[in-house]
Amino acid sequence: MKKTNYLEKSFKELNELLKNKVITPTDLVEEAFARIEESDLNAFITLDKENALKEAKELENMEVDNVLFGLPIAIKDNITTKDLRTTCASHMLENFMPIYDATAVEKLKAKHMIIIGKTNMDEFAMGSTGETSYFGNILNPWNKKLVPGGSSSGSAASVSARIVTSALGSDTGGSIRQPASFCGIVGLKPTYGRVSRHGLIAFGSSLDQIGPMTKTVEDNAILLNAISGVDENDYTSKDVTDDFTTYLGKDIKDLKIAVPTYFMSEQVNETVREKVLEVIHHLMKQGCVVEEVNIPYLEYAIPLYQIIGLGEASSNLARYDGVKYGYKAPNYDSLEDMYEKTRSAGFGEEVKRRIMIGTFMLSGENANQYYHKALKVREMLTDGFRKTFEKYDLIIGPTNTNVAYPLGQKGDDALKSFYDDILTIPVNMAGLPAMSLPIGFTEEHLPIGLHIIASYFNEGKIYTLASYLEKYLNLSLDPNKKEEETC
Amino acid sequence: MKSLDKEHVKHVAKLARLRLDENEVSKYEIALNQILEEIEKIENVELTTNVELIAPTENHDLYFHDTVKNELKRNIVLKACGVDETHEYIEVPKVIADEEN
Repeated sequence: MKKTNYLEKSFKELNELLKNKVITPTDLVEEAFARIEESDLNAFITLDKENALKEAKELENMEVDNVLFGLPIAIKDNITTKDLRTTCASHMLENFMPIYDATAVEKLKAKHMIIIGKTNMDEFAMGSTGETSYFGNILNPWNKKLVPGGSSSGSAASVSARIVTSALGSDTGGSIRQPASFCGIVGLKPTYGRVSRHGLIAFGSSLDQIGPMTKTVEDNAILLNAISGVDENDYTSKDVTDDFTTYLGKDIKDLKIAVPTYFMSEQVNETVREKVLEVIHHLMKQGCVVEEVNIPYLEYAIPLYQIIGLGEASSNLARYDGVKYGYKAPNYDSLEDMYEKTRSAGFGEEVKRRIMIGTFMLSGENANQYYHKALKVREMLTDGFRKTFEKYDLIIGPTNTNVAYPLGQKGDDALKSFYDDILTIPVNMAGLPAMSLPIGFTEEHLPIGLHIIASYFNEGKIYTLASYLEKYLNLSLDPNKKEEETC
Repeated sequence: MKSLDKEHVKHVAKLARLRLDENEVSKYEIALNQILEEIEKIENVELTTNVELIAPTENHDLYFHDTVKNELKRNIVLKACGVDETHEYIEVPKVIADEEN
């Protein structure tokens, strides 16, 4: 088969080619599967080649009526897809076949996007390296000895490697933004309530959001347009509509931007900090007001996540008991025996650890002493953000304290994966929207991400700044074109 | 918070409906204590509010119209549960323990 490179192009470029009949959806699907066959990233758990090709063929007889028409997309494997296996990268759901689509997936299908497959991830979205998957490690396309970040590891890796045009991820404490940063792509966690959680297999229900992961800022805005909106099946979704593409390319000179002191502290790798400072200096030269601020309680993000996030997780994952869903132990003597054997064999180590912490935090006196106190500290942290947004349009800093690191480095360190999300968790606690945008590379040619945070339902301002920086920086972000000497 | 010993770990595992072997108990004892030490930091916070933020949403008492929808077909649900489509019901494992248990 002739090798093509259409998947390096943006949504709009592909849309033009499809409208002018230069290419067909089948060409794009075939290219995606050719790239998957060549890839050793382990980015997918389940592929849907037969249906994808069938759908592509059917679309050839239809009018190209929107910019997402006929484009191949990948879906994180904790988002339900009708009649397409959805595993959460767990033995527990290894053979789970959903009977309905998540609302976000329904919306993409209505636009005639073509689902290529389900992406590999940390088990039940618990992890920051892609190493807790039951289906094996996912590799970073920039350096295959490194982790891609997580938990939306396969979504980030497949978009970065240009295997698909885009992907959906989910973010409970940084699971879209951290891998986006490690893989050099654009990843957005929308405001809590912007995108329906219906069909997103629950981890921390007050923290989870589905979001777009793309090569470019414009693609990201287009994809968010498609998946956002109120949904009767998610009572936390909000009836606010917006066209995020209208914010692209707007003037940035009147933007007031805050940089929390905590985000630029010694815990952040020096190269990452320098790269963020370069961006800050440039924005100031363009007329933006950029000021250092103190947002209180940011330093409590990890204990808050461990108490609230894992408390919610232990409750949500109680449903996997061998009765209703997924794996069931084959031999057991009693009901209790069945529960324990099923859950002990069905869950991996990281998931079990997190369930136990959550169970402990919600049990007996601990609920009063820790859980209820954590909810009050969460309010105090959120109030700090609210007050900051009374004066500023955006908050920026690094997405992560570091860049991608070697596979296996986490080892038995129970805290490492939490510390990877130290700068991203506060955003989930407050329910704010935030993006990771690539702003450069280390000397080892590893991508560095800028964290851009806005107030509630103000994703538009994020897109304004991100589209400006993307154009100004003009980075080469295709790992397939990385020069050999930088490997 | 007092640290967890092996007996505590086994008790928490029991509450979480998990069964651990002795190796796992030792491993989780170390890991859980590491995490609990981190959680302990919350004790240092002096509260300035009594408001608990349970979820960052402004939606309260939200209602939609109740309408009957035929969203799930019987045969599809039965098939998804691994049951023959001609069955009338979904079979699940027995969830009532015998008296002697």
